[in-house]
Amino acid sequence: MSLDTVVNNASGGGPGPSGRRPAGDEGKRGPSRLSARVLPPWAAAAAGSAGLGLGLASWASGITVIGLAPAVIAALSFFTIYTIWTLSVEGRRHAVDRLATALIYAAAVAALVPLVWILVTVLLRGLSVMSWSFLTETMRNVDPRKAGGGVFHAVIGTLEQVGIAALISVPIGVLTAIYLVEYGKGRLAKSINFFVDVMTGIPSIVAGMFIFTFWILTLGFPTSGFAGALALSILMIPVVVRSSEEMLRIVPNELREGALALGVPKYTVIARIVVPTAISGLLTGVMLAVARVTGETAPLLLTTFLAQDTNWNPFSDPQASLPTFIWDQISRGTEPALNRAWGGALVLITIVLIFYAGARLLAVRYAPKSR
Amino acid sequence: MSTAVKERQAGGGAPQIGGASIHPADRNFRWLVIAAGVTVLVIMAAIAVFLVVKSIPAITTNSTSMWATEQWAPDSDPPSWGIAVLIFGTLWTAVIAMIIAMPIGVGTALFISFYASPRLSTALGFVVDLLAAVPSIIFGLWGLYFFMPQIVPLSQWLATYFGWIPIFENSQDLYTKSILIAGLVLAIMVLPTVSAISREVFLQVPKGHVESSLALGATRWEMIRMAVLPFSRGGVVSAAMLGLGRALGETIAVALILSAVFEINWQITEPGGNSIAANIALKWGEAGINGRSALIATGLVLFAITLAVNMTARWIVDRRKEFSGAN
Amino acid sequence: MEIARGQGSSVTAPTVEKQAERPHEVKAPKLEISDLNIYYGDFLAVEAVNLNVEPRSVMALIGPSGCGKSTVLRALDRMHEVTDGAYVQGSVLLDGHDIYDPQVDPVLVRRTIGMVFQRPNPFPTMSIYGNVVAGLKLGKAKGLSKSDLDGIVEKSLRAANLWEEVKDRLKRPGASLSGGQQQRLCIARAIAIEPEVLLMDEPCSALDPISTLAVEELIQDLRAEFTIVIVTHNMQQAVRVSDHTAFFNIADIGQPGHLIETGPTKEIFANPRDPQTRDYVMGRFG
Repeated sequence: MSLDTVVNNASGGGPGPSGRRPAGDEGKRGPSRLSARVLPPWAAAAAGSAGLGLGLASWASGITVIGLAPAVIAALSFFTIYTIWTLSVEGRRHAVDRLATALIYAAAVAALVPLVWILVTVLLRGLSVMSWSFLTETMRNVDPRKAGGGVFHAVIGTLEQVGIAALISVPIGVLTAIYLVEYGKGRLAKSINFFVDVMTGIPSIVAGMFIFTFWILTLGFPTSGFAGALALSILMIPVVVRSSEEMLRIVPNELREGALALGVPKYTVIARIVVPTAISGLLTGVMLAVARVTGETAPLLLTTFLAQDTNWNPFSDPQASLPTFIWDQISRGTEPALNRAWGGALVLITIVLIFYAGARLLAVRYAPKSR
Repeated sequence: MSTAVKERQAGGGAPQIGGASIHPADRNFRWLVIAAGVTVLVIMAAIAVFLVVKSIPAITTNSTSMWATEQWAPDSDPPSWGIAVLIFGTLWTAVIAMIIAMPIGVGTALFISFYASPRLSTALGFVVDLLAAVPSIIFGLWGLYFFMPQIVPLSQWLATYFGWIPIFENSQDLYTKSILIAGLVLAIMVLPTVSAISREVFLQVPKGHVESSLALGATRWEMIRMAVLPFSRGGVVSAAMLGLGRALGETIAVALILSAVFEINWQITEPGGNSIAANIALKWGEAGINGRSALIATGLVLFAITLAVNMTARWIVDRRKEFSGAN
Repeated sequence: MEIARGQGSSVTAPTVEKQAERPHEVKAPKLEISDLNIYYGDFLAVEAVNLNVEPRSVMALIGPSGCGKSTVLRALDRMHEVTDGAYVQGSVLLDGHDIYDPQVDPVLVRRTIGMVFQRPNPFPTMSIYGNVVAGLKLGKAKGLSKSDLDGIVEKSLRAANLWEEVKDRLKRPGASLSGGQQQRLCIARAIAIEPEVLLMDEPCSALDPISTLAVEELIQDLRAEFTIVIVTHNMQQAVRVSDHTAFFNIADIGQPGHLIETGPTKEIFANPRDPQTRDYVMGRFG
């Protein structure tokens, strides 16, 4: 490397986000052919400020371009300025690279915005109605057009329904996964595999319709929390099967062979070696399935109906649940009812997030020990 | 003394590690897991059979064509109902959702996989996945009261400046409860699915590909175009299909947001439109016997559509596995 | 000296001949493998193996990769049956009883004939202590008190030359040891159930040279109590460790493997009779 090159590299500033200076960039030949003109590192910020400035100008003066909002003008200006600037300094390839980078960053931000927005909204609106009485009272004798009442009956209903659904789905799901992984060859296994896939795709409302017409109408069982739990199970079982399957497959075959070589029958190998090794993964899968199913509304509307008071018995009579509670309150159309809906939403999302975050924490902390 | 030469088939038929016939506990356990698997089959069979049977009355007594009719009156005399509006609404909202969710979802996945620092990518991945945990009723609630008012100006702008494109035309000067808004909310709901699956796909790109393209002097974007995207094409397509499947089946958010006018409406900024799932949710309570039967029929059609989409996604993934030589 | 059995030979030597060849030791063989054919589905992987293993000795199975030596080893404790569609013809006698007899429980076969694998595989959910007693506990060791178990753990870990290194951390996870230690833990686990025969499938190929040495020394110690059959692709290891050697070879890919020659290790390496054996031990292929 000649001294020229070293000097040029040093004065050219750091490379841009692409992080590379390709050897022999277009048209730059000569003793310092490894160096290239590079945008200064503050280029992005400068372009951003310029864009911001244009946006502010548009806002202050009221002049718009085809009716675009000032914020949009600011963003578009940033992209345009940045790209053109790169084009003139670094050349086409880098311009494309920087534009792509900017767009990808924008996509990431766009993905982030809705979540933050939703969570903040639910938090603020829900907190405004949150109180001890809200959590402990029901809607019994509460005029839906007035303030007051609470979600207690809905919370109890959700906990019972999801609990029963888990009690049904987890054994069936995990055992089916064990069958598919440890035993499954042949036509039976292939068809079970296929139908688990089919079951994954059942629209939740179809599950609700099925339970209503089969369990309630034809078999004559009453509308109940249990019926809702059955509908939730239909949605939950395939999720548990798939995630358990994945976790069981991760267990290395060597462990199974090591256990077998000790002279131990197959069911012991599965129950005492394979499942315990995979247990944290299995648990994570179950918790994620629970989190998903807790928020289901449609199947419950059709099977548990609505209730305004606590029904401790999940086996008969309509039972409230958080999702149906929210639906009910929205449909009332009054301001107090809407506030209650937000309160219910806050409670619901808290429960869901506890399960969800819990599952992720579990996955991280309890991977099989190697220290 | 050695015994006569014998053939012994280990595990005849279903695979067993020899000697399952000797341990009764082994046999019992095997029956237990088989029973669990068979339960799945039984449930699916029950659903299929039962719903088909229950939908037949409405289909056979329909006085007009089930596929072409654009009204919903199964409980009137004579019954007349059609699924055309519903299929249209279901597909149209889903398509809009995918058009928006795909670039953002794939872009986010690229960001997490190739642009962000390890800590940022873990954090961002966690946050985007969190979006998947938000129940759909909360999406509906938020969508109706917070999101919609923000999108109405956007709709107006589209109708004003781009109204010469037919789908953006708005003849009613009403911008609420439109397919655009429902589609956008669906896009947000489907985004985590697309992003998560795309991330997984990008993770599988062999490091050798990535490194050799960078070693050739490619910029980061060129590396992505050269090494990542061609390899991931199938996976991204299957991510799209799985996202589409979820968008098609979404009930509550759409039911809350769309204005449930029963008509085919290409103009996305105008109110109106109905999807199969939303229709069921809204009409079930008041439906009579034939009405329910008709709703079940529409549910089966929806099930068939989502099934086709999911199966295609799986077929794409399986085909790719053959190429990549995954075991 | 065992007669070398070349390819295509279908002569089955009668039992009398085997005993006459060793006038100085009339020991009944611990394992007698007779006319063993091993199939994977339709594919014949190994053909016509006739081999005897003396009690309390180390028999090394050597040969180029793909020749079937691991397949033969796994057939000795019926582990090959784990693979779908795998089966054998012929017999394997343990002290005169055919382990392939239909009345025989393969699970019990594996308690009597233990196996150590190429890659160390301690159970990740168990401690070192737990790993050693796993074979006992999984098989429901009845009537063993805690002190009994403690004694077995110490005895097995001492026998595996691991006791001094882990005696203070028996409750730590099994996976927290180094590779060589993990392999010795697996050996301790295998011998804790007191098998009569120990099969080892390339036990050192995943280990560093120092750990390899430790395991080889261990094998020498274990020889006093167990009959050991070890598969190795390392000829020097076979020389260091074994009393007898059996050389397998394969004619071509897709052809079944055959036992070519077997005999005391010194003779196989110094004075092999079959030209294939000679080529292999001289390093001309492999």
